[in-house]
Amino acid sequence: MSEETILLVEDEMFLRELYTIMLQKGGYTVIVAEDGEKGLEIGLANPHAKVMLLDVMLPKMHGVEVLKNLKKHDKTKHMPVIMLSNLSEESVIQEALGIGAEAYLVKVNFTPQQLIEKVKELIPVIKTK
Amino acid sequence: MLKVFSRLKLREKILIASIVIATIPFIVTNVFWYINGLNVARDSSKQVVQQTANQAAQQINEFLNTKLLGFLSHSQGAALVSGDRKLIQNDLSSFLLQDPDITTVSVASASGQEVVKIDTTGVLPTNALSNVSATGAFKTATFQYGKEYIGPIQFDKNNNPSIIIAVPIAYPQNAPILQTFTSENVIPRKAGEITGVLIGTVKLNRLFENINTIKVGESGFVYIIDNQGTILTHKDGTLIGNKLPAGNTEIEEFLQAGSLAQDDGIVHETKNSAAQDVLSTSTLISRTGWGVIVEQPLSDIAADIYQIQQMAIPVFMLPLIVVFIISFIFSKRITGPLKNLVKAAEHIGKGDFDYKFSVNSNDELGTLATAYRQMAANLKQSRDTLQIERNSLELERNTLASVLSNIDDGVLALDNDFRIIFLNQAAEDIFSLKASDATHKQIDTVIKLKSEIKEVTIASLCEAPGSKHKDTILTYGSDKNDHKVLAIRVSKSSHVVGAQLKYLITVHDVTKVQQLEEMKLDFVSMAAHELRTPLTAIRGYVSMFNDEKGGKLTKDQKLFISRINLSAEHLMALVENMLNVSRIERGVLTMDMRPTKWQDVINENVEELLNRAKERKISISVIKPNKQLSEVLVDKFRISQVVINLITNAINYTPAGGKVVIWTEEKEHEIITHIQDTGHGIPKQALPHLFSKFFRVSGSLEQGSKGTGLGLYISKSIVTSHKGKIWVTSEINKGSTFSFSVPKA
Repeated sequence: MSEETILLVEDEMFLRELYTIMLQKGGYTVIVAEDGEKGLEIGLANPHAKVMLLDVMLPKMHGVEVLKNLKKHDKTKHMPVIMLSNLSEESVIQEALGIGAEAYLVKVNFTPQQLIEKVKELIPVIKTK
Repeated sequence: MLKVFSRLKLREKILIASIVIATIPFIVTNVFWYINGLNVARDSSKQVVQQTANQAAQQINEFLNTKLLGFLSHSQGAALVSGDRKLIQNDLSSFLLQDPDITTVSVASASGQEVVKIDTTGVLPTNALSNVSATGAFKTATFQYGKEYIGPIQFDKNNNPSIIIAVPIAYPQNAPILQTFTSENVIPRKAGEITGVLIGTVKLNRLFENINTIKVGESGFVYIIDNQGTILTHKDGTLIGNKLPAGNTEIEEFLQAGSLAQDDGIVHETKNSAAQDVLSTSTLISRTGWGVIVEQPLSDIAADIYQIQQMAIPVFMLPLIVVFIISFIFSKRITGPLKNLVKAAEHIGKGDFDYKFSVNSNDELGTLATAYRQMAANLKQSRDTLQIERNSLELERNTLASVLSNIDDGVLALDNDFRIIFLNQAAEDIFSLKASDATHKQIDTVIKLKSEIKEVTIASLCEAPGSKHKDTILTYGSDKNDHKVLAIRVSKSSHVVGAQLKYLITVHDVTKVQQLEEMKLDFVSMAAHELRTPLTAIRGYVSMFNDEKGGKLTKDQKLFISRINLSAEHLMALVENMLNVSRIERGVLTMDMRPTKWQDVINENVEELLNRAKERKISISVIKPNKQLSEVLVDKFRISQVVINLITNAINYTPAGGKVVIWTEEKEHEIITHIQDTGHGIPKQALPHLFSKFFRVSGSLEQGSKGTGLGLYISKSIVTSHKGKIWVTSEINKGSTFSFSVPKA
């Protein structure tokens, strides 16, 4: 069951709940965190999660920092992370991908349904790596 | 020497020059005189010496002749020829009385026996008579056929010189008695005719005293030697009877020849026996074989000349003094006015053009003084004119300087070699420079400007053809947080004739403007991002109705939900465009250029818009090119935005039932895409502004079309980033054609 776990770090409550509903509908267990520090905590607590959906503009700890910390720890360094943000600055995208994020999705371009489909689409790709 | 002379004052120079000029002839003449005078004096002395010698010889010859003629006249007289003793005694006595030089006289018979002998005491007794047949005198007078005998000099116990004279006594038959005798008219006698000999002793004291008193010049004298070199008479009596020590070449020559016949009559310069330089000559007395020697020391001659020179000195000194006095006065007359002129020049030099001075001279100095006055007057006039001009120039310059220093923009003037001629206060402040440090320096060595990261020289800006009257934005200062952003404008001075000014650089500090602009762009970017989050939520929740709950909604609710969705999408498009503009403005719009099949890009984008066209009842068609298009080098995502934007516009601005046609055109280096619609067309006056930011064709809002006024601006930026061009042709009520080019791969 833990393989079907998806970690979601998102500070915006409406979006967090919307994504949680959609992911749960898709058959995943969703563990959420509302800021960067908690995001890192749930990441370290669930190193075998299928994927982490990580917002960038987070309180307490910036999404890119969370990503850096996850990649530093041995047990979480192989955890797939998909960045999920409305910040579409090329420099941030390149930085995140450079640190080891699997993908960088601009939320506004996807409806929640499309987003879940995109995640589902990406998971097999990640697995084959 | 010349150096010393050049240091002297003019007056001293004149004096020295005059003295030198006056002295030169004196010295030259003296030297000439001395050399020439010596020669002349020597020649004349030689003459005197020769004359003296000749005179002395003549005196001696006359003396001897007189004595001989006396003897001859008595020997041929009747008394002696008669042989009568008494007559002879009387004749000889009178002979002795007549000539005081004769001390003894005797008559000898043909056999040599003396018959009568008389001396100054009277007739000598018979026992005092002797046979003289063996004497040289007798022999010469008899056997040599009457040759008169003049014997060698004898000196008695009192050292009185005397000679023996002997002549034959004869009276040729039929011969007249001679009244006068010369050596020429003496009748030659034959042996048989000689009846006796007349012999006498002649004292030479009187003759020699005469000779000794002859003087030549200061210390020259005459003396006589015999053919053995023995001195017969000399002013120094102690030398008489001695032989001369060797020395006088004249005498040596004379003695070597053994006879005075060798005398050449030339006066020689030689050394005498006392090793003195002398002029000397010798003359032969042929009857006796004596030599008359004249000697004159050469020192006499030099002394003479020296004496003459001594006399000449005052003669030369007089003009010298006169010259000195004249030049003294003359120099004063020259240097006096000159001093005045010098003083005047000093005053004029100091700017005292009204200085009064006088030069009482009608010569060149007077002319010079007049010229000085004229010069001072001209200078004064020039100075006054210059002063006026300078004042007005200064005023002008002050005005200009205050204008320049009050300008907020930096102004720098450069010469042909880009050296700073001038910079104003603002330029000093902008570049933190001091004018004194920067002027005359090459501008790019003082001011380092950058465009992004690479250095840009002002010289290159000045040279660049397109940079005139256009701002170039450059940064100054290496510190990232403290650098200045400057708008630099170069203008080339057209008035280069004679002036150094070539380029004028104006610098406008746009750091603050730039910072504000950046803040604005950052704000836009930030705001747009922040807007995205609620938009995402709105779209997300609205989408929930579409999947499952849609069926439970009423028709009205569905319509409202779809309107919420459309509004959200419009808002999203606005936000996206704002973000794009912000990226373009900040220069962070990155392009990922890849070779791409252009026809595919067109087709894919048209495909996506087919629905929208259908909704608006507009037909959309793509004309296929005749042959396959080449690949293009584009960022597919970005260029697609252009294609979508242009086609969307065409759809939006074309009334229902209209047509949109898209076709391509392949050129050598690019592919041009045309999008033609049958819309309202664009007013002519709007065409130039069509691709500007936030520009909207007036009236288009009223027509209900939705636009942000950013689409064409973004499209143009993207096309330009592809090094392509975008343009439009339009006709009101007929439609517009938008075209753009992209480069071939």
